[in-house]
Amino acid sequence: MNNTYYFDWAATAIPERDIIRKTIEDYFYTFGNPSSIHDYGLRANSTLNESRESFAGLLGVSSDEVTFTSGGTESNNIVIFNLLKKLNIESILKNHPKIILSSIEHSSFDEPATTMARFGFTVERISTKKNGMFNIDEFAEKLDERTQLVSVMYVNNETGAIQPIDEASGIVQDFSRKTGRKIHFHTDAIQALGKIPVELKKLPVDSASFSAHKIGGPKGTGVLYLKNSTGVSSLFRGGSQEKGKRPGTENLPSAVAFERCLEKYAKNMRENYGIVSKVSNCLIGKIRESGIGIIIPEERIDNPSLFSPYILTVSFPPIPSEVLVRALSERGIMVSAGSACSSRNPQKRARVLRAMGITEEVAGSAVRFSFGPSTSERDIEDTFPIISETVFRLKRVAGR
Amino acid sequence: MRSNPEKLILIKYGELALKKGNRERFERKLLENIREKFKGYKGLEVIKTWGRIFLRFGEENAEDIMKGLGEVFGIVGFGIAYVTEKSIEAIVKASKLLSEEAIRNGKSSFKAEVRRIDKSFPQTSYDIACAIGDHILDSFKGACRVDVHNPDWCIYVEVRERVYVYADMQRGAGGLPVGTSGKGILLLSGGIDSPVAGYMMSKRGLSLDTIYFHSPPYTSPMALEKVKKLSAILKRYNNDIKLNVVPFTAIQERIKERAKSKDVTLLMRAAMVKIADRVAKRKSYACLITGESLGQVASQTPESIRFTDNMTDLPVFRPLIGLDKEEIIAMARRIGTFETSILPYEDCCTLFAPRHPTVRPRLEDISNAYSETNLEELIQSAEMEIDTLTI
Repeated sequence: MNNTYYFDWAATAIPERDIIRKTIEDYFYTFGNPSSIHDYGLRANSTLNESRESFAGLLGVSSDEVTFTSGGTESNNIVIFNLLKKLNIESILKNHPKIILSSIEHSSFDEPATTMARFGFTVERISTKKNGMFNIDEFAEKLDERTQLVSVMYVNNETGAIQPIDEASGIVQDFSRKTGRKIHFHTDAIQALGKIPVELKKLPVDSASFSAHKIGGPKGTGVLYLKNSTGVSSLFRGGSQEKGKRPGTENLPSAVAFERCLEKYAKNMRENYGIVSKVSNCLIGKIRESGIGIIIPEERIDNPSLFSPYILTVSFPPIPSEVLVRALSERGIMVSAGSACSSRNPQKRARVLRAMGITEEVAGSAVRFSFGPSTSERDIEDTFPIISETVFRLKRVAGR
Repeated sequence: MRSNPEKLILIKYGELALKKGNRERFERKLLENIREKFKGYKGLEVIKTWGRIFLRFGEENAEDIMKGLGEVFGIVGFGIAYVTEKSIEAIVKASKLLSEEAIRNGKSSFKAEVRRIDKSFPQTSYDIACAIGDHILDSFKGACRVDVHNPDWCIYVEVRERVYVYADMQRGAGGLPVGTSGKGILLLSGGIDSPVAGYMMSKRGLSLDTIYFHSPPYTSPMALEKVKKLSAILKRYNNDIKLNVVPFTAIQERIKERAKSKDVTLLMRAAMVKIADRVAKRKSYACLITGESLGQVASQTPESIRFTDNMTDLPVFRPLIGLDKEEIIAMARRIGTFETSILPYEDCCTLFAPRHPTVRPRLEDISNAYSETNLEELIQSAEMEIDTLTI
C-alpha cells in the first residue's frame, strides 16, 4: 500500500499533532489537581478556567455555561437522565412525561431515550423526511403540556443533513410562552462544532453537546453547554468539580487541547468549509457522472446548503456496506459503513437511513465518506479511480 | 494416629478397560493427555496403578485441576481420595474428613462400601464398614444417619497395598482418549454446528486440526478471529490444534462468476471439501469432519451430500447429522462454544447466498457445473497460500 486516504473524519478526526504535543508538554507544568489549594492546584485551576473562558468565547456564551465532560455520549446522557432527578417517581408514573426526539438522533441519545421509556416516560420519535430533515410539522403536533425535553441533533452524523434547529427551538419557545411551561431544548451539535457556525446565543437552545475528537482533539473529552437557568447536572454525584454539574477530577490536558483545537477550527472555519465543499462536490460530481452510486439523500444535490459538506453518504447497491468498506480499506481508503458507533451491530446499522424511508438494499449498501480540513480535491481525484474500479469489480461479482 | 492421610485426586476410566487388546495403548495415551493438559502445573505428579490414575497435586489448586479433568476424554469420573496407611484408625479418620465436607454441603444420609482386595488385612469388609458407620454417627451426632439404599453420600474404601478412601466422583467427559482414533480435520465455519461436531469426534478419540476458508473482503477479519477463538475452545478438549486458514476469495468469485446463482453455495461447499481433502492427505489426516445436520440447509440434503462427498475418498464424519438445532445449541452451550459462535460476524457474505439455492441436485448436472468453474488452478494456488496457525 503506497498511500492511504482517510475519509472517516466523522468517526474521528485526524489528531491535531502540534496542539496535542504542546498540550502534553504544558501539562508537566500544570499537572496539579485543579481542586487543590496549593500553588500547583491553583495553576491547574487557572489553566482550566482560561480554557473554559476561551471555549465559551468561541461559542459566544458565558464561561459558567461550559461544563467539561468525558465526551459527546456523556453530555447527551447528562441532559436526558437529569429528568430522573428533576421529576419525582410518582409524577413520572402518573403523568408519563414526554421526551420528543428526532428519529435520527445519535445512539448516545436514542438509546438513553429507550431506557427512559422503561422508566415510565413517553418517548416520541419524530419521523424523518426523505430529504433527511426531521418532520417539523409532526413535531409541532406532538408538542404538548406533558413535554419535558426535546432533542434534535444539529448535523446528522450519517447524512450530514443540517436540521432546522432554529425553527424547532422557535416552536418550543412559542409554546412555552403561550402555556407558561418550560420545555428543555437540547441539541447534539457534535458534527457541527468547528465546521459550520453554531451560534448558541442566537438559538433558543438550553443545552448542546460537543466532542473533542471530532475536531482533532483527544478522545474521552467533551463539553456540555448548559444555559444558566436549566439546573441540569449529572446523575453521578461526587466532588464539586464543574460546579457540581459533573463531578470527578477534571481531564485538564484534554480540556485544554479541546479548546485549542476549537480555536484552530473556528479560525479556519470559513476557509475549511470552502475546501471541504469542493471535496464533497467533486465526489458527488464523479459519482453522478459515473453512475456508480446513489447520493443519499438525492435531494442534497439540489440543496447543498442544507447539508454539511463534511459528511457524504453514498449507496452502491447491491454491495453490502461492510464489504465495500473492507475492500476499500485493502486499497488504502478508509470510509465507514454508517455510523462508527453502530457499524459493528447489523441490527442497529442503517437505523437513520431506514428512518428516511430508504429501501433495505440501498440502506444496506450505504457508505459514509467524511472529510476534514486536510482532505483535498486531489485526494478525490486520486482515489476515485480506485473506488470506481472496486465498486465495478464487486458489482460484477454480485452479477449486476 | 500420626498424621492426616494423604489427599490425592482419583481418576477412573471406564471404556478403556473393556478393550482388552488396546488397553495399554489407550492408557498410555490417556496418561500422556493428562500430562500434556497439566504441563503448566509443576507440582503435579501423575501416578498410574491398577486401573486407576492418581494425581498428587501438592501445592497446586485442586479445583482448577478438577475443572481441567472434566475436559479430558477417556475419564469416567474423578474426585478427591485419601490414601492412608493400613489401619482401621486411618480409614475411619479419612472417612470422617470426607463426611465433614458432605455434611457441610447439606447432605445427611450415608453408607460405606468396602472392597478388601488385600485379604491379609485383619478386619473383614463388613467390620470396616461398621467401624466407619459407628465413628461417623458418633462424631456428627444428629447431623447424619445411615441409609444403605439411597444415601446422600457414599464412602468407598479399597484396601490394597495401601488403603484408598473416597466419596462420590464427579462425572468425567467419557469417551476415548484424544489421539487413540488418529487425526482428523474439522471444517470450521464460525457457526454453531461445526465446533460441536469437532467436540463429538474428539470424544471418540480423534485428535483435531481445523480448517477455515477466509474470503476477505466478503468476510470480516473478525470472522477469522472468531474461528481462532473457537479453535482455542476446542483445544481444551484436544491437546493441540492447528488452524489452517485457506484464502478462498478468488475461488468464491470464480464460482459466482461462472456458475448459476442457485448452485453457488453447493459448489463453494464442494470446493471446500476438495481443499480439505488435499490438506488432509498431505498432512496424513485420516478423515474429514463437518457440522452438517440433515436438511438444515440446502447443501445438507442427501443429494447435496452425495455430491460433496465425491470431492474426497476419505471418510467424512458428520456426528450432527441426526440432531435437531436445539440439541446442537444445548451441546454448544455445554462445551462453551455457543457464545462465541453467535457473535455477529458472518462467515458468508450475502452477495454469495442465492435466494433459491439448489436443494436436490442431480449428480451429473451439479458435477458438470463444478467442472465448468474450472477451479483446479485456483485451488492449487490457494493450497500453496494456506496459513497454518498454532492455536
